[in-house]
This record gives sequence, structure tokens and C-alpha cells, in this order.
Amino acid sequence: MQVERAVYLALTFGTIASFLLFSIGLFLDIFGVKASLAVILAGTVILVITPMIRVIAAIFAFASSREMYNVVVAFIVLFFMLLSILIGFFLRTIPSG
Amino acid sequence: MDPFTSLLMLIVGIIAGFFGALLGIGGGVIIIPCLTMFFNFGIKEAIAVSIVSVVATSIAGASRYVEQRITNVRLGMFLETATTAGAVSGAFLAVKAPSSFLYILMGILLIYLSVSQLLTRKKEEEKLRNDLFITKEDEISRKLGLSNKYPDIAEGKEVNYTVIRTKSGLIASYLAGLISAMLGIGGGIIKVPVMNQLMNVPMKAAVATSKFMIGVTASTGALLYLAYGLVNTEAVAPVAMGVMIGATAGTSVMNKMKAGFIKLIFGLILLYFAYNMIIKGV
Repeated sequence: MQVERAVYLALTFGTIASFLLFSIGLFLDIFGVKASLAVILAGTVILVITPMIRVIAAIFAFASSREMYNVVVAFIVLFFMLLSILIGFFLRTIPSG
Repeated sequence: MDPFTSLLMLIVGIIAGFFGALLGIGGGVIIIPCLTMFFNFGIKEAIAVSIVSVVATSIAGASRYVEQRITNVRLGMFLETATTAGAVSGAFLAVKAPSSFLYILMGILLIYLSVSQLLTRKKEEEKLRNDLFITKEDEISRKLGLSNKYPDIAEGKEVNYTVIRTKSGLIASYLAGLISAMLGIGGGIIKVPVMNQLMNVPMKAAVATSKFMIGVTASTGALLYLAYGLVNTEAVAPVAMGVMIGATAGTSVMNKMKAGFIKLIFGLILLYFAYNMIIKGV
């Protein structure tokens, strides 16, 4: 089935990419290279974004198999994930209580 | 950060990932107490690092089950509408809540887990009852095509099952997402029983689908913490890598260890962690 395959590929790619970036970042960190934090941050972002990519992959897969209710469901999930980023940035701009 | 601290954090990650794989959990219940007790992290910082690592364990473990077609992708996606909504609320609350409250809540959760581990270690084997998993679907379940089947190797056949009580399942999933993001854990402890006992999903399919959902739920919380600036990047790398290594190792030795013994050790460790968390909170 298309859905399972698309999801599987997205998950595998994200895991490998973030693990590599973490390794490189830690290695640079040991030698005191400043760029290490940026590399680790990139790894973190890829890791955390991966589940979102798999939700987007699922939207396409559901659409191609004409499961419209499930397309809506996947969009709702995506909405909350994006909302989370927005709220995070929003909280950053106001002083913490 | 000095290499020695990185190494220690890597070890914490490996232990958390290893136990996580053995017990089907995210490992946050090990990461958070260790970061606060041994590395002097504040609880909010520890929660943020933990939730990112939980994303790592879930992705690594989940892809295997998806490949083996044990995961119910449609059911997972459906319940994620509620867990992500819960995660947004939970992460928001964690940023705003006083730390002492979070310490005590974490302590209570650990005590509950510890006791349930110690109590259930004798009766592991009353799970698969294949005949009862087909019944009448509700409307949502039918429209979304949530009912499914999976190949059960131990039983040597395909197990068909009907998903029921979708609305109650959604409400329970919202709470699971809230607790997950607020305390930096995967929340499989809640999701698995919800699917298995409430929604009529066989245990193996419930575990696989829970693992699959944890990634999206945890990343929703993690995204908020990351955008807010609470994630300590230096700590994330060794802990998340350790978790990935430990989880991989854990899955391959799981069958060789006695489940009762694992639960006993794990239960006692959690009890010790619970004590420390509550001391910090009061």
C-alpha cells in the first residue's frame, strides 16, 4: 500500500540525517569548533520536523487513494503541529511569568 | 560542554533507549530524572531535551513496525488529531507552570508507573484473545476505515479487528498528548491501554500504533519548546544519539531477557527517581 511506503521512507531518511548531524556536531564540539552548535541545531530541527514530513506524505498518499475523510484528518494533525511552532515563537516574544 | 559530560549524557541516553525498547516506552521517565539529578538541569530544560529524544526513539522503532504492517496508520492519524491538540496545550502549560508543580507531577507519575511495573510482573501472558476482536463498528470508524488486520507471526495468521468507541478514544488521546508534552514523555503508557482496552485493538497493533503516534505527538511538543528556545542543543546531541543506539540494542536483546526481572529492576529505579523528584518539588 502507498501510505505505508511513503511514511516509512520519510521516517528512515529523517533518522539517518539527524544521527549523522549529531555525530558531526559532537565531534566538532570536542575540538571546540564554534559551528558545532549550528550543526546540532540543524540535526534537532530535522529530527523534530521528520514526523511532520510523514504527516504531509500521508496527506498525499490518502489523496491519491481518494480517502478524503483521512485527508481532512491528516490536515488537522498538521494544523496543530504548525500551531505549536507559532505558539512557541509567540511565547518567546512575551516576558515569561 | 566538555567531552566527559557529553559521554555521560550519551550513556544516560543509551540506558533510556535500551529500557525504552524493552518496555515499549519512550524513555523520558529515565532521561528527565537523570538530567535533573546528575547534571543539574532545571526540570523544564530536562523536559525539552527529553521530548526531542522521545521523537528519536519513536522514529527509530516505529518505522520497523510500519514496514511489518502491524501499525494501523489510519487509526494512528485519527487519534493524533487529539494528541497533537493535547500536546500544544501541554507544552504551553509547561512553559507557564511553576517548576515545583512539574516536579511533583513527575514524581506522582513515576510512582504510578513504578507500582504498575512491580504489580504486573507476574502476569505477563494473558494478552492475545483472537476471537473477540471483531464486532460492530461505529460511524467514525467506518467512514475513516479504521478497522484493520495485521499479520501475527506467533499466531501464524492474520488477525482482523474492529475499532470501536472512537469518541472516547479521542478524549483519552487528548489527555495523553497533554501529559506527554507537559512532562516530556512519550505517553505510550496511556495510549496503549486506551487502544487495547477501550477501542478493541489487539495488543501488538496497539503497541505498534502507539509507537507510531508518539513521534507526531512528541514532535508537536518539541516544536513548541524549540521555537520558544528551551531546547539545550549541546545536551540534545549526546542524549538523542544515545537513545537511538540504546533503542536499537534493546530491540535485539529483548527476547533473551526475563520480563519479570526487567520489570522488577525498572520498578525499583523509578521509585528512587520518584522520591528525588518529589523532594525537589517540595
